[in-house]
Order: sequence, then C-alpha cells, then structure tokens
Amino acid sequence: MKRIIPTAIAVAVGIVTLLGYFIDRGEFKVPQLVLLNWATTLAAVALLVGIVNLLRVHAAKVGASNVNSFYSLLLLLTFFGVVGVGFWLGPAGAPARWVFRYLIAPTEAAVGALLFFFLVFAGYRLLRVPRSPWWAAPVFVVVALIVLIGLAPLTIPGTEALGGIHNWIVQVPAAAGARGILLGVALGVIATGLRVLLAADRPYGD
Amino acid sequence: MSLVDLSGLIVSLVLTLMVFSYLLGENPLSRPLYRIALHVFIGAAAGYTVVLIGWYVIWPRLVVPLRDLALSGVPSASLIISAVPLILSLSLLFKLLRSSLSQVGNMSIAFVVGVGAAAAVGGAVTGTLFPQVRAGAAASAFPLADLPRLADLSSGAFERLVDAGVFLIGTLSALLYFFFSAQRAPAGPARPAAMTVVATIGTVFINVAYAALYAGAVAASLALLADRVAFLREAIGKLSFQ
Repeated sequence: MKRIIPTAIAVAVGIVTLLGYFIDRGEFKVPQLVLLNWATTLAAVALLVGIVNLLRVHAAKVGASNVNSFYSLLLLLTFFGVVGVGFWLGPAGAPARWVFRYLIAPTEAAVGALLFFFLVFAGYRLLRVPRSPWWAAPVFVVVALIVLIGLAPLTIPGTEALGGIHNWIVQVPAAAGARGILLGVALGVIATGLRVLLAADRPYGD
Repeated sequence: MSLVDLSGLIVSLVLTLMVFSYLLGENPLSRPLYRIALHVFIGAAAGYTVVLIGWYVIWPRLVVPLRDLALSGVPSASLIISAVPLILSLSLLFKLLRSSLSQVGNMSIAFVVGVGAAAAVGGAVTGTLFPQVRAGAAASAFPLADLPRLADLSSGAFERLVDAGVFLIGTLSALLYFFFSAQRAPAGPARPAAMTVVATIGTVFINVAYAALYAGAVAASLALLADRVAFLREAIGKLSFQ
C-alpha cells in the first residue's frame, strides 16, 4: 500500500498534466495549470528542505569541532545573517541588495572566472591522454582554436581567412551535430518521462 | 563614495582575491582563504534563496490564499483546493525525519515527479522535437529552382547544396550515434556494420559541436576573468584614493 499510493498519485497527475499539452481545451488546460502551479510551489518547498538538510550537516560538523568546524560555523553565520537582513526589509530592501551586489555576485563571478583555467587545463590534458578514436582529440582542439580565434573581438594578424571557416563551422557542422544531440536528448527525455508515467520507473519511494 | 558602498567594495575585493588564491595551488595560505570564501558564498546564496522562497512563494502562494479564504468565509471547496499545496508541502517536511515517518513525504515527491515527468515529455515534444525537426528540415532543404545554377559557381547554389547536404548528414548521423542497440556476435555484442559507419560519421559532428561549445565556454569564462581583473584594478584604484 505504501508504494501503491505514491505510484497512483504520480501516474494520475502526470497523465492529467500531459493531456493539457496536447488537447487545447479548457477542461484539460485548467487542471494542467493548477497542477503545474502546485508542483512549482512544491519544488520551492523541496529546495527549502534541501537547504535545511545542508544546515543540519554543517551544524553537525560544528558540533564535531574538528578542523572543518570553523568553515561550517562561517557558513551558518552567513546563512542566518542573510536570512535575517533579507526578511527584515525583503529581497528588494537595501540590505538584501547589498548582499547580492557585493557578496553573492562578485564571488560567483570570481568562481566563474576560475573556470577559464580549468577549461584550458582540461583541453591540454585531452591532447596528452591517448583516447580512441585517435583523431578525436586533435580535431576537437583544432576546431576549438578556430572557433576561439573567430570569437575574438579583434582580428589577429594573419588569421583573417579563419573568419570564414569559423562561420562555416559554427553554422553548418557544429549546428548539425548540436541538433542531432538535442534531438537525441529530447527522445531520451520522452522515453524516460513515459517510463515514469507508466510506473515502470518509480523514483519516489524509499 | 558612501560608507555602504565602500564596505561593499572592500568585501567584494577581499572575496575575489580569496577565490583567486585557489590559483596559487595547495598551500597552507591559499587553501583556507579559498574555502572561507566558498563557505561564505554558499551560506549567503542559501540564505538569499530562503528569503526569495519565503517572500515570493510560501507567503503569496500558501499563506495568503488560505488567510483570505478563511477571512472571507467562501465555500469550503475553494478552501480545500487552496489547502492541497499546503498539505503536500507540510508532508514534504516529513522527509527531514530519520524515521519511517519520512515515507509520508513520498506522496509529495511522487506528485512533483509525476507533474515533472509530464512537463518534461510535453516540453521535449512541443519545445524541442518538433521545432528542431522543422529547423533541421529548413536548413537541409535545397530549392529545386537552384538546380540549373549549380554549374555557375558564382551563384552560390553549389555552396548551398553542399551546406544542406552536410547539415542533413550531420544531424542524422549525430542522432543515429545514440542508437545503442547491438547484435549478438562471437566477439561480443556489436552494432550492425552500416550503423558503425554512420555512428563514426556522427562522432565527427558531435566532436565538432562539443568543440564549438567548449570554445564558447572558454570565451565566456575569459570574459568573466577579464571583468574580475578590471574590477580588481578599479577597486584598488578607488581604495587608494580614499
């Protein structure tokens, strides 16, 4: 019984939602919108549950008082500080905007900037580690270099001819490959979704 | 510059330098600095998310409708419909318990999974499959009226035919690469010979697509790096004039 009820809920709400996509009538659209609205709210609450779990893990680390306790304590203090100032005047208030402008956005941008070094190092390692097929890594690096030179805001002397090659690569073979990948992903999503809706997969039980 | 902006500038500058200390590698100075910046960032981002959820989701969608309905005394059916997301949300909180009671939250998870799977299928069909097939067909199309002009290289008809052909072959071969069914063979399961050739061609196009995406990611992260370096120069300049 404890598995039948969640399965029945998932299949029922899934079919009602799916019908709303393909039958353009009010009887199907209205329930679909209500269910999507509820699911959005629940997804937000699920995120909240995840954050509570994060706090619980870090509170346990603070209690353990080892070398990582200080970092966890810092995380908890920052969290409660931001929640305090955020609820005080709301997300549009000056304190919350200060937190976003001077704390969250710059750190996020700095971590994103580090990605440049990781990506370049990964590209370098791709050439060093032998892979099958042998031509894949050299083709990858040459195409990436041509596209990068094409993306440069200034024309690098001696590379003018690469502009046309860059445009052709991006608009024809890369777009064709990306479209094939997107179609494959869409077919995979449909197959996985239908397995959930037919109760062949039940990723909601303990 | 106001005191609020000045303090913000100092916090941003210090956090950016602490994150960049990761580039110094594993050493007793840079490792704690980077970890401090990251933990502060995670705490602030989680706190900001909680504020947004509380302010824009829980209060207006769960609390206000129920309060208004209870105060106005409207028919009980509306009250029940408004109460459903609240009941499901409360049952989701049972997932935090480390006991058999946590199974109460499975109903809410099943609800989200069911609606999410249907939204994914509907979105994939109407938002990806049909538009991509339509766009792919348009890019692979070659007008028959251009056929007589193929010999005239200056007309561009030949280039369009080559592009359309490459596009069609690239899209189909990249898609067929994901066809993983195999036949039994003495040396182990193997794809049919024709499918192996098509999959190899597909690998080339997938490789080129990933290389273009990689170059885009490198360019985007380089732009972020340039922005951060410009910020550091500007911030240090402003602080030195204070």
